[in-house]
Amino acid sequence: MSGRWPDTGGRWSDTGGRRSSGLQAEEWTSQMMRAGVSLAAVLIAAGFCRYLLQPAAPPPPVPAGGPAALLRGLTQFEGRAVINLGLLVLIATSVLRVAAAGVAFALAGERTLALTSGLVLLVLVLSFALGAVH
Amino acid sequence: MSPELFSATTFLISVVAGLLGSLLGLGGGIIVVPALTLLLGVEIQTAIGASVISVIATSSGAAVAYLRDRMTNLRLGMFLNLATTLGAVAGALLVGRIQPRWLFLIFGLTLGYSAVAMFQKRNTELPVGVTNHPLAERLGFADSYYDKALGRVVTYQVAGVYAGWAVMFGAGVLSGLLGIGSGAFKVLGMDLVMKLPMKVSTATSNFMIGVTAAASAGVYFARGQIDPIIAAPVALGVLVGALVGARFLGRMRSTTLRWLFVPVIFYTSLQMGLRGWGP
Repeated sequence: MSGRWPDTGGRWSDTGGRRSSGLQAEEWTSQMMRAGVSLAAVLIAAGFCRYLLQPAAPPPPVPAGGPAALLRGLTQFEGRAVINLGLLVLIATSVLRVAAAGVAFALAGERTLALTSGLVLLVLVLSFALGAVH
Repeated sequence: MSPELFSATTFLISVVAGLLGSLLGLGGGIIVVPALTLLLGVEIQTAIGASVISVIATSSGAAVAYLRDRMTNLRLGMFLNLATTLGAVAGALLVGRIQPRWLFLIFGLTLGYSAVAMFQKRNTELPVGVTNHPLAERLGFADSYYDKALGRVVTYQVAGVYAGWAVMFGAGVLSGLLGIGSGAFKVLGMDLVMKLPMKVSTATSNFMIGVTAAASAGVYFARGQIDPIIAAPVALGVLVGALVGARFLGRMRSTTLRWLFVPVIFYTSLQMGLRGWGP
């Protein structure tokens, strides 16, 4: 990390040691997101190219619904199904960033922030459940 | 319009949305929804589904760089995310019990007032004389980042933690109740109430909007309200725009950001006000 801030010689040289947990949380979250976003982009791009190159077929009235339809589409390398998988990875990455930060905070002994991350995850799941039944 | 031209237009519009959204901490919905519906004739429900994907793509595309460069205050963002997600659930539970038009009017006026307040701060590069809130002290919210435009490390304090939390809760209620993104309120809350540097406000808002939108996106996806053929060029375009925008933010002056932000907020406040005023 040193060298990123040329005038300080290191990212955390101006802050106390307690803050090093923040560094870990940011690194973990950033790396996890980089992997998730890259995978999602590749899948969406591949699926979209496949869709454009596919022989014209009447599109289903509703986008692939349910895990079974998604799996069936994926085994046939169907453009829409591959895009949907990419979108799912993108959405999951957004949720997993909270988990990644939470784990990093917990490992650093930052109980309040780890608990906060856990609560955010819980509320996300709750809001998903509420939305699904609405 | 041929499918190829439709996709190319959607992609280009989304690049602009991602660029602006990543710079200003917004989801890009104010560009994606009108462009898809008015310009390309997409149905509003499908456009909203694509807009939710746009929020997540903006947030995710920019977050990698903002976290790496420490412009995102992750500790504070996580703390405030609890308020927005709780607010979003509360808002969803209130659907049908509150007349949305009054809320549109109230929040439209609030945004308009905030736009004026930010305009008054238009020449402020960095906040000065900010005292750390006791809770910010306890949870280590005060932070620093390297500002490429200024060529130095900027160390900042965090004020008004409780008031900021309340603003974030309100922003969450707004998202859950009205189905709109609330990046503008998040940025304004952090800038005007918590006295954070503008770049930290937009970068942290960027991180937060993706988390809040993930729950709605999951629901939209499960209900089949996200059309992959429209969402794909939106997601790819927004990701490209957000990646480019994230490279720009570090090099921009906060005053330039404010000049960009104020008209966007003013436009959004007018849009909200008109939705409240209309039939």
